[in-house]
Amino acid sequence: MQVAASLLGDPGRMPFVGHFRVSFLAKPDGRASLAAAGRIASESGLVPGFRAAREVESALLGLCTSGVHDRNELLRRAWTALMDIAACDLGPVGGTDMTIILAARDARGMGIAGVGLSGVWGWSGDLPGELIPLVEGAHPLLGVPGLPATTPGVLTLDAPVEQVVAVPAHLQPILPTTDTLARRCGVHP
Amino acid sequence: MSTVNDLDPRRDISLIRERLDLCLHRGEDVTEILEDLAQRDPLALADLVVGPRSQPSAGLISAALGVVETLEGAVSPNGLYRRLMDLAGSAAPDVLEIAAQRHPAASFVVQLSRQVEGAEAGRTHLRAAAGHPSFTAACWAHADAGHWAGLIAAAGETGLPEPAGALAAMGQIDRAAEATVRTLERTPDSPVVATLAAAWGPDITPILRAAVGHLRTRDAAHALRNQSAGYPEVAALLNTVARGMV
Repeated sequence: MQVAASLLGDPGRMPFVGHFRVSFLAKPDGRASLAAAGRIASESGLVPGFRAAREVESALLGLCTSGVHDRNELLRRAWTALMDIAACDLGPVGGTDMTIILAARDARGMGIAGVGLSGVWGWSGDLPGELIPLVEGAHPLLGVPGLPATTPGVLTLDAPVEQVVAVPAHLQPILPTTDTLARRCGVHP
Repeated sequence: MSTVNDLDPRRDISLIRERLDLCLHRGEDVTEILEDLAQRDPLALADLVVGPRSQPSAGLISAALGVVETLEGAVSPNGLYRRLMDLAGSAAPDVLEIAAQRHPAASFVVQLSRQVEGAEAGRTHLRAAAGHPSFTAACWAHADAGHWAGLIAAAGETGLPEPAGALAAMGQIDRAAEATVRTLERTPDSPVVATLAAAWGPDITPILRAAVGHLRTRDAAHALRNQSAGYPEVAALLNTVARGMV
């Protein structure tokens, strides 16, 4: 039931300035799960980016999931938790540069939401390394960064994937080769 | 007035070489001779010091470092310092020191470092490059070359966060952890944890856990704990560890 989300890092020596990533099962029985990955205040410097990213992680990990069995409710609570963070804790530009992908899963399927993305792929877990694009063209999931004022729409997947991988809007929607993908997303086994 | 000022640097170069050799054989300082030649004929100076007929001599190379700016005008730094290193003998560390000071961004200094410092390659270079815009690139170059011990030493000597970041970027978890602690021992508010996250990825828990084993002082434990507040499990562990330290 657990799902994982990751975001491609920038090229260069410090690819993950302002990156964050969390995943957890809803309490108490883990019948729904949430994963998030993103970046914030990445252009504001190492330390502001780091602090803002930890704030986002803390807000998501601290959200109340008690008795939540529905993926859409989990996503709604996640957005609310993000919108409740004080702007001053989200870096010098107050979260207007936030990129995030959220993936929530329950017994009936999967929902994906996000902002600031140029591409989203999924891995079903069947074939090693086979990532399939989940959105194409001018899909509402793809767009400019920034913490939204209202809850964004959800892309529903009837057949859940185990992992989602996203590319931030400022990068071309191209994934690196599968042998380097995890490392390029800052994921280490 | 040097002992060769009566000689023409081009026409009498063999004679000058003989006088230089004699002085070096007697253990005399040849700085004055080299300074004289540097003023009169840099190309002749370069031929005498690093030319094909030059013989290894720590005394000559030590003196040559005093006129290295002139030599750089005659020979490209890359070739010059490699040749100086080949001829330097016991003066090799001095050659590395000067090369690192004058060319902190040059990639050839990475190779020279390995030649001179062996297991601790990078220590001199990174100390010289600290504060220079090329410091980050130099850390990554030494990490690429596998100079782990030198990076850890540089972390402790400079208190800068990049050596630990470079080690993390190479997947050297335990070495990055050790460099992190050495950095904090030197400079408690160095943003080393943020640098690790920027270089390795957002979940640096494995590195922070490994760092606990390298802690030697309570101050470093507190510094690491303060910077790890965003990782509650590690922060709790560090609280316990810091309380137990003298």
